[in-house]
Amino acid sequence: MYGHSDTQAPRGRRAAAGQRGSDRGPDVEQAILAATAALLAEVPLRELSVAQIIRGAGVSRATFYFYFGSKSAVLAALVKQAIDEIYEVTRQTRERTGSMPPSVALPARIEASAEVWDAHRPVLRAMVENWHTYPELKTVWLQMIGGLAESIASEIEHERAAGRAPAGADAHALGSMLAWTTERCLYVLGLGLPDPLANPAGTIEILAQVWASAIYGDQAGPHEAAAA
Amino acid sequence: MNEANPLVATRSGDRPRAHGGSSDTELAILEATERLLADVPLHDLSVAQIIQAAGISRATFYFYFSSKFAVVSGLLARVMEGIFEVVQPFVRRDESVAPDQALRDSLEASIGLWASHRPALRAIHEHWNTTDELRGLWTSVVSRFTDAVADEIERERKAGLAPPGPDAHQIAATLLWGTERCLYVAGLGVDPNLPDETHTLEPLLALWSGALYGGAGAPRTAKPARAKSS
Repeated sequence: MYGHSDTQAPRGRRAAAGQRGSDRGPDVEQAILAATAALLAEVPLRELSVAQIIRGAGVSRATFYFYFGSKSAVLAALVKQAIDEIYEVTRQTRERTGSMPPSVALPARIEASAEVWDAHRPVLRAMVENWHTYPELKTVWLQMIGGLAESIASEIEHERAAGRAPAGADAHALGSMLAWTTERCLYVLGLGLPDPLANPAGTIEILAQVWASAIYGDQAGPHEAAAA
Repeated sequence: MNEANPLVATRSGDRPRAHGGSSDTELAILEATERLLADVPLHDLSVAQIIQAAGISRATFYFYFSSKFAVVSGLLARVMEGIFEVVQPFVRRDESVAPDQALRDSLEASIGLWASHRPALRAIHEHWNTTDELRGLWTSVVSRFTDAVADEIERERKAGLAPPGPDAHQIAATLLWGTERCLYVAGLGVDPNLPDETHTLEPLLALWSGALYGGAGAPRTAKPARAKSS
């Protein structure tokens, strides 16, 4: 929906190995992913060790490196799973709300994504806090945000061409800005800070209004949403 | 610096300072650190590098600052105080200035200051939530800006210049967190749609203006108009 996403985890030496031991298979890979996700709820990525992951997953070091080149490769795979879920719920929500006005459709889409974000909170938090220092995480995250930005930009251009949205700032810059703003607000929301963003329903409502007024101008700005 | 400024209060970890925080030596440490941060990530930066760049002794460094994070806190305090000043045309708008002009001027000046202190702000942005010494400081900075913007939203609503809407603090927080994220990303140059800070002005104006005043944007005259939905 928002762009290409590859669900395949990095395979490490799997292809070269050309053989499968009894402790190798989708279940083992899932165990490594699940153990890492659980650990990230307690341990920052920087302090997380492969030793902790293999202990948590109950696999050998050799098995770990059969599937993944590093702890950040495991995180990249976990984030790709979360991104795929976000694409999927977004697709479903757009189908369901396709004929509804933006004041209903936009909050529904943002809420659906926020729920997926919440379900994968430690993993996405680790991504947001670390992509700038790990090249393989950076690639995955910039592709995710870039895909979202392009999707918003084409929606803006489509709505402008159809006469439903007024001309305005560059659609691609607006798309990036809405994508990064949403990313940041969902991240801060998940931190549980004593901040106005700690209220999920309010944050989703306001994000939807920011999207609406950026895309539709005065046809679906805060005015209408507030009056509805 | 006013007395309610949280930037000063949160530096309690520092050693007592001889000259009230504005000596030449302290300034030299701050400036050397800011120069170093252009090339060295905060995690890799050492006090030894700062001492060498500032041309001071280790004892002198520790007289003024308890750690590299204390220096970064000091840098942040200075930069954010500057940004707080340049947003005054918007958050304390003079009635003779039209809201759209006040918003544009404040955003443009903030973007300019952010860009000129990019390395220090990048270091804070990347580390505030994973570094105990920086977390309280950054969240108090965001709170201070949130309160100021929320107050302005409420004043504009009362004056009939902005439509009624959801909680002003939540709108302000959403816009501020989104803005700092976009400025950080623009400064990295990793998003082709936001190649640098100056390219954020027009889309940021659209975002702020739409969220604060409705899609029609900020009023272009200084004279209060009737609120549409009242």
